[in-house]
This record gives sequence, structure tokens and C-alpha cells, in this order.
Amino acid sequence: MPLLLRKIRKSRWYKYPWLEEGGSQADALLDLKTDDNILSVWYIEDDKSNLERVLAALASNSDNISNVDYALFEEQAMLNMDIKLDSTKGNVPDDEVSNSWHRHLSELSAMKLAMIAKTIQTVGEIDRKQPQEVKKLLKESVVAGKIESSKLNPKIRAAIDPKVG
Amino acid sequence: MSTETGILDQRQAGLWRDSIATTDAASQRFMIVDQSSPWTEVIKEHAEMSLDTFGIMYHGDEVSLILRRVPMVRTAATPTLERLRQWEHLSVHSAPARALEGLENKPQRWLSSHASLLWSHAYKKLLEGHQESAENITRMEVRAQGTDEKVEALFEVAMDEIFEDGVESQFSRQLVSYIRSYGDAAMEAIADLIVYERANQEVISEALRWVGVMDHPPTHNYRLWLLERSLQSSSARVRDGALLGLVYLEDPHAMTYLKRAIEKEQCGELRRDMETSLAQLESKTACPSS
Repeated sequence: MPLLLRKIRKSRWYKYPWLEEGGSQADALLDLKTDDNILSVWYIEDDKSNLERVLAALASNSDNISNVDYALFEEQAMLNMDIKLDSTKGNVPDDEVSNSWHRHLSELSAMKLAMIAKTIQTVGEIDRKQPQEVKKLLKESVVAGKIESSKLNPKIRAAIDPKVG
Repeated sequence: MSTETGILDQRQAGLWRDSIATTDAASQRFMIVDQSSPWTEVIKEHAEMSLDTFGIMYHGDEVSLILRRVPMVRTAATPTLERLRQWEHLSVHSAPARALEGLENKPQRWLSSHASLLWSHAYKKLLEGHQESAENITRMEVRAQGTDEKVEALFEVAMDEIFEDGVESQFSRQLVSYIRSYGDAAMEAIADLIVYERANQEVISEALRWVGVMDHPPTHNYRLWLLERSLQSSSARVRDGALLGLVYLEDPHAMTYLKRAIEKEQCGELRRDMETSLAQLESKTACPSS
């Protein structure tokens, strides 16, 4: 079953004791900020074969090497909620990631957004790539020619290859 | 002869007290100090602190101000009373030796609520015999006060920002800029907001990330201390920010504090991240060139 990925901040999804069963912190909605009622997500193959590449692409848009926190949830769960799913071009330095794996969850109501939050919280997978792992992924993407080094923030460029920085 | 001792102000008194608790993981120690601890114990526990002002002591009509002007020296051996007496360069004047004489084992009382009164009184007394040193103290204080206000305003405005990992914000840029400009004075103001949880948790968490990310050797020890201390925050979100800050800082000194934090951590997700971070820090220490 294919998955969808959304970059989040993990601590906004901690399950505090005061939360109702299956509930999320209200602040979790900060990670589901919509634009024109659209939520930008990334398509992940069911075997997660493109996960690290997508994470590297997302990290390459940053100002410095950082952790990447993310949530994974089933695409089918969105379809079951009658959420419209469109394939659109993304905006990351890795062209294949941008062209092939970017999705829009569109025509979202507040209710549907809350349901997405609930799906992530109850049956989704929330994880973190540590800064060191992100650095390694970025380096691999650059070496493999998936991301052009010149498109990276100079601080990231210097971190993954001090000679270039 | 009655003896009273006061700390310069509430903030510094609190930080001093927290430092003792952090250093020794025994907050009870302060309670002992508070009532009747020997000065040698106070000084031993103070070894890792970075405060410029240690305290003001009254004994009878005489007042003495004890000052340390060095940043936190975590690698230094624990100073004994005798050794402290020899450290003239750690104080603005000779007050430490004078203030310490004959005060061992006598009851002390901390008067943080009377901070400003104590400060003016002590300052006036000191001015009479130590003109140059006292001026230095004043300049230092004025700078610190200005920094406090700027930092507080910065944290307040930042509540309107939405932060994303790895992405600079107006808040992070200004925070880093203040620390670079004002050094430990900025760190004191930041630590005050963070340790006493006087700011928004999300903002604090963001601040701690950047406190760890930035490269600024003069404040390294203070930043390290603040991150280690923040692992004890009541907020899981703040503890996560501290954890990430420590991951960026990559200082093996944090390993002991991380281990303690893991033992106490109630939030399962956060504890797992702490364990992962600790393992990485340990492997980094084992292979420093990686």
C-alpha cells in the first residue's frame, strides 16, 4: 500500500497524558498548514524504496544540516475519506522527486484536516532522521548526481564537503 | 556578629541554585547550603558556574562582594578554599579572601529578594576602595540589562512565527546575533527565560536548537550547560529542543546528562530519540574523525 509523507516537528505529536484516546495536540495542526485548502505531501512507495531520496530532497531545501521529522500514512486512508489527491510538481532540488513524487491533498475542509491529523496520530508512523543521517543522505544524493551541489545552501554544501564550501 | 549573604538578583540566585542541582543532581544540597553550609562546600559546588557575580556578603557593618569574571570552567579541577584564595585573577579585587575569612561553618542567609538594595550598598562600599574595578562592574551590569530586554522582546515576538527544522527564521537569526554580540551576558538572559520557563515552549525549543547549532567558542560552555540543564525541563517539547541542540553541539560532556535524562524520561518517543542521540554521541566519541 503506497504511503504519503509529510514533514513535521515530532514533538508536536507527542502523546501527552491529558490527550483523549487517539487525540492529537492542537499544535500538531501547525504541521498541516494548508495553502488554498491544499496540503502538500510526498508519495512513498509501499516498500519505502524512495523514502531516503525524498528525505534528502526535503533536507536539501534547508538552511543548514538538520534533523528531518516526518509522518507516514497510507494513501488509501485519504481516498477512503474522499480526499482529492493530485499529482503535481514539487519544489525541491532533486528533479525526479519534484516531478514524480509530489502530491496535493486538495479541497480540504477543517474537518478533513482534523481527520488527517487523527490518521497520522493513530495509524501513521512518525519518525526522525538525525542530523548525521541527513548529512549522509544529502552527500549520497549529491555524489549520485540526484541533487546539484550548486542548488544547496552554502552552509549545507560546506557541511557535506568542506573543500567545496 | 550577624552574618547575611545575598545573591545579586533573583535570576542569578536561581541559576546558581540550579547549577548546583545540575552539577550534583542533588537539589537538597542547596537546602543545606541555604541554612548552614560551610563555604568550602558552596565553592566546590560552584565550580562549574559561569556567573560573574557570586554573591554579596555582610558581616556586621562590613560588606564584601565576591566576583568571578571567568566563564564556566567545566574542565577545571574542583577548587578548594585555599586554591580560591590564590585565584586573584578570578575576582575583581581581593574580596573573596577577605569575605571568606572566618566564615566557614557559620550560618548563611540568602537574600535574593533584596537584590538591588544589596547591590547598591555593596557597590557603594566597594567604590570607596576599588574605583576602577567597580566601574568595570557597572559597565558589565548595564550591558547585561540591555541584553535582557532585547532577548525578552525577541522571545515574545517569536511567538507569532511557525518554525521548521533546519530553516532559519527571523528569531533564530537574531538570537544567534545576540549571542555573538553579547556573549555570556546574552546567554544569561536567554538562560533566565528558558530555565524558569518564562517564554513560550515552542520558542524555547527553537532557541535551544540554534543554541546548539551555532558555532561560537566563547559561549560554548554556557550553551552546553544550558542545553544539559534544559533536559530537565518540565516540557517534553523543550527537552526535545535541548536534545537536538546537544546533538548539534556534539560535545561528549553531554553524555552523562543524556543518560540521566533517559532514566527519567516518561515520554516514550522522546526517550527513544534520546537513546539514538546518545548512541551517536558515543560512537562519535569513539571515532572522532567520522
